[in-house]
Amino acid sequence: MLSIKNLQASINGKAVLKGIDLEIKPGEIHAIMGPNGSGKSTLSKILAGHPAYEVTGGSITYCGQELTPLSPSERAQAGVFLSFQYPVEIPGVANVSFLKSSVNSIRKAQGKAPMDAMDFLSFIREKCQQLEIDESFLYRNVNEGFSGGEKKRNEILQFVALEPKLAILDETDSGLDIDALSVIAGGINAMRSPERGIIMVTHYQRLLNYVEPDYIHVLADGKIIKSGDKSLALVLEEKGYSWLENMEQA
Amino acid sequence: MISEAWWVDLKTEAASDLDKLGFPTRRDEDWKYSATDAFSTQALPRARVSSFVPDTTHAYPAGVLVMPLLDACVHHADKIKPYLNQIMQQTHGFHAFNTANFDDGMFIYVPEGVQIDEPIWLLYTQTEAGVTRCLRHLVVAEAGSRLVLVEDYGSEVYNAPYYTSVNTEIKLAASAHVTHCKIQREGDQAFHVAEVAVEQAADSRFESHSVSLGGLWTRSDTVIKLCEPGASCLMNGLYTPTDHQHVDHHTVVKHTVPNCTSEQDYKGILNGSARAVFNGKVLVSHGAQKTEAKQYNKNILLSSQAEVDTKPQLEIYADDVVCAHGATVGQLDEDALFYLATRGIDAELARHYLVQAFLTDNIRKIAPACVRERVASLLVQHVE
Repeated sequence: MLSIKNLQASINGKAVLKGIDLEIKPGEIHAIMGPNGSGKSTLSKILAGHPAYEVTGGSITYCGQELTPLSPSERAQAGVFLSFQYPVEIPGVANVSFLKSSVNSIRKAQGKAPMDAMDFLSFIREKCQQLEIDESFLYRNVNEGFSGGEKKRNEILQFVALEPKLAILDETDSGLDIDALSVIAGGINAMRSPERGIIMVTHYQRLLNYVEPDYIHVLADGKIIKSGDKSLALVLEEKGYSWLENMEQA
Repeated sequence: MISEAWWVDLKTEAASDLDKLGFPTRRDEDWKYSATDAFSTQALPRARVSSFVPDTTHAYPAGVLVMPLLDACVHHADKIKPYLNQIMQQTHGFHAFNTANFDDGMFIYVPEGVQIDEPIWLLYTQTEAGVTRCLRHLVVAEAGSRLVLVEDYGSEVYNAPYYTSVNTEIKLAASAHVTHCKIQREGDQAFHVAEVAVEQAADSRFESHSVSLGGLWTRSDTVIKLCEPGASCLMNGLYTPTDHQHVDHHTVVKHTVPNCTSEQDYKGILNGSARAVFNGKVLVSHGAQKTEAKQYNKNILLSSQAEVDTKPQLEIYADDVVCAHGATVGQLDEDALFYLATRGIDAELARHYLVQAFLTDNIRKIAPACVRERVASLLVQHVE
């Protein structure tokens, strides 16, 4: 469903991705790991269409369609979802109305009728229960005054509500305690499906104990330097990223 | 016609001051960004009728006066004379013009210890094009009293100019609490020149909420003098000019004694070829120790043709004070727009959300709730 070929990108003229190749088939979970500054979050943002980055070479094909010309909202409407590492606070806008606008805009793009307020409320309440999110969450302003963990739960709530075809989860585990991590991992596992591709971007192996990936890729300096199955995470946990980077240089 | 000597003196002195001062020009520092020649030369005739009929049926607590200022000058001159034209410093031609010409406006008097929870809502709707209306309000809040005053300027006149001149003087005695909300939603070709001048005694609290939505050319000043220790004030401002609207806010807070606090928070959203000016001055006199003064002005430009001139100023002559100020001019946050776009939210709604988010802090500062809700709904209508 997603085919990235020799992807190169830059920001303000500085090269940040230097030739990435990645194939994701429906039903697969891929973990992208790597040290800080390796380009993990950059890759996530580029897939979602952040305007600050310029694709300078290679291609991204999503469900048979070239992704690069699409705007971020067109990508979302086509079923691409990015869970943010640092979600944005929007004071003065209730979470429930934001979620409803978002769900309905994507339903509209898919040719489905929009949900009315009552239908949406029962729909989103059920998702909240699944993620052990208190209903008061819905009536707070979008991410305003949320703790780090609450923001991440709100991201996963959006993942679950929007039912994307391709989900990119950027550092979803950072800032979570063990209890929250297990709830969020439960949410991600419940979204595993033969039609859906998931990319998990993470610095640590911790999340991978809860959500087992099919493949692991290690990114360093804008390139994938190693790919393997889930056992790679254990080697990394033991030896650290420097092991790979040294190997690369040798 | 009032024939008493003090009244005649007030009016003739103001007329002669106007002759001396003339209307300000762009050579005056305080009028640098706001050319007045556009309308001061138009010499609009005076409005024929009073635009506001006060609701005299409302039952206020005993001793409270809510009445036309002209009537009060006849029947309650003792309560008027110590304050009228004493709180406002007549420093430029628009002040003098207002004093010389006002023939409308209200007097509000709240006796010691009396608290009025329900807002006193003065709604002036202009119905006549091509005229000048000249209003003067005087508010006296005695010790420990409490009131909420809303000045609301609307219009049925569009595509035609008219001029509103309004000056409001407010005196807060010790421990009085006054909330003053001004809603300016004049017609699209209107000129609106206003000043709210305030004097605060010990431990009094003044909250100003100034919302500027309409008008072609608006100058709206707030001048507060903190005269005794323990006084505090809030100046909350919101402006949303668009098309060719010009809106200029000048604020002055004078910390003349120790232990007073002031907070200014003005925010603007500009669209089209709109122009906004903010000039805020905090003066901390010799000996006004333990002053706390904050002053912020933030602006968002939604169009490349819009322009802001912002100048926060601190003049401090005491050494044990906490003062902060800052001004920003920017666009909507790119990361926030990206976040909303990745949720499938279209650009128009995303912009609406972020404008709402930008104004939310200021809207939240408005109390009571009925005034806050009214302002919030007018803002939503206006920004859309």
